[in-house]
Amino acid sequence: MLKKRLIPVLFIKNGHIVRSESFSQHKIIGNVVNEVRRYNEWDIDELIYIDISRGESYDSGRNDHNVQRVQSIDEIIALVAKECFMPLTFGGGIRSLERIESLLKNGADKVVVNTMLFESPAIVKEAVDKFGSQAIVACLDYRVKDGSIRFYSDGATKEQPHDLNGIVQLLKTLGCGELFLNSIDNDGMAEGFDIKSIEMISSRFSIPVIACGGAGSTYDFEELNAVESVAAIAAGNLFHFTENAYPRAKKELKKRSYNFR
Amino acid sequence: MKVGIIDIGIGNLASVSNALLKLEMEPILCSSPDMLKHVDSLVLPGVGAFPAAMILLTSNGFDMAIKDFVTSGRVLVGICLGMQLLFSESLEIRQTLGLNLISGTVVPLRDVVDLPVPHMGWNNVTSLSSHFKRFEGDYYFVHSFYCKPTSDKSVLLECNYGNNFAAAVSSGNGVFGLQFHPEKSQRLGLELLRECLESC
Repeated sequence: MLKKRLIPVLFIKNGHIVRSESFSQHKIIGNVVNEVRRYNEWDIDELIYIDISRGESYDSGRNDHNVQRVQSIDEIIALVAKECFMPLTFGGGIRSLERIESLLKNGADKVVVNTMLFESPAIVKEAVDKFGSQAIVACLDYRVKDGSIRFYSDGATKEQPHDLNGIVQLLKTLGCGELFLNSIDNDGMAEGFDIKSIEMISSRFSIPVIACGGAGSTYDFEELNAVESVAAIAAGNLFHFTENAYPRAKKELKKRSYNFR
Repeated sequence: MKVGIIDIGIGNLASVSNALLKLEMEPILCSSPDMLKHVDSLVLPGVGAFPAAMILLTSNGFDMAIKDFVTSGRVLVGICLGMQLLFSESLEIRQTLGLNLISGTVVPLRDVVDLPVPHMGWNNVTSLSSHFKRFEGDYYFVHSFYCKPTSDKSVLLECNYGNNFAAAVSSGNGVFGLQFHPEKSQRLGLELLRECLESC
């Protein structure tokens, strides 16, 4: 039986792992290479990196962590791919076919695109045709406004005109193989997933949906697990702050006979 | 052990190469058929569409070189699309002949499964061969087509997604096909890859 996936999301800013809150506040919490070792020990299902750097500086620089300095996101991928034998997904700031190709070539299995869905859908379609639908993950950053779901691009700063029907149609046309659904308002709040919206949005898609935004405890995973149309549950901060949070969450979920690896 | 990786410009070759390095093997990217002469075993990776991959294999003589390689008694492991290419034919896009190292047909999952396609994620396999019992467990799959071998005897591991299908096959003479990605399936995947590559 196909398992539900539990996926840690790492936000990278200028070469550091950061904690994310409402897409705007970021606090440095770790080093890319050290985090990789930890996740490898935890035997995780998949790893998603989202690069939220502004500008071109990726130097992870903290010599106090006693690891090599990381200069570019491509270098990060190459490093991670040498250590991790699980699916690796990268996103953030991707704007061209060349960029997608470079990420895949350096060891990413999938790339996540958001702004490109709206600004350059033809290139997304080209990428799907060239690398296969399985390699292109559409990221939808959404927020509930006056009772309706609104979608955003450019790091949650730009509202897009599409309603849910329009988005369903758009992703179908582009042929993206997976959907990464992220609640802007729940991001970093640790108050639970936005179950209602996740259910409403994910049930409209036939591609696998990864839901993210708001996990604060294993209980939140259990609640989201009940949503049948969700193929994978993702969380960021929770896995970084609590010791062994990932293996403990998996153990809890399996103890309740939920369908996890 | 020198392990060739067939490089026809498709697939995530870095992942396979990294996995072989982790297994303390020596990966060698083979971009031309004569490079197969210098390797002990061979991996045929692949992501993408069957017809396009077959055209790439035949246009530069890889198809014949791969068959010669197998005849020489060395191990060949096909991964994902690479597994499907080992079969007699595929119905992806249009009917296309494969390498015919394992008898059978590659058919669309969508025809038999009322579930999302591609079949993507971790799924468990069961062993049809006592020798592979210790490789039962979860592996990472991403595919929209699956292989239907003519003979059940070639199936080593079976998976279920709507219906049962062949997750791992062997011809019995050193040709292995793995529908999942062993290089993305954590320790169990790496161990299975080692088992196949070192089986001769």
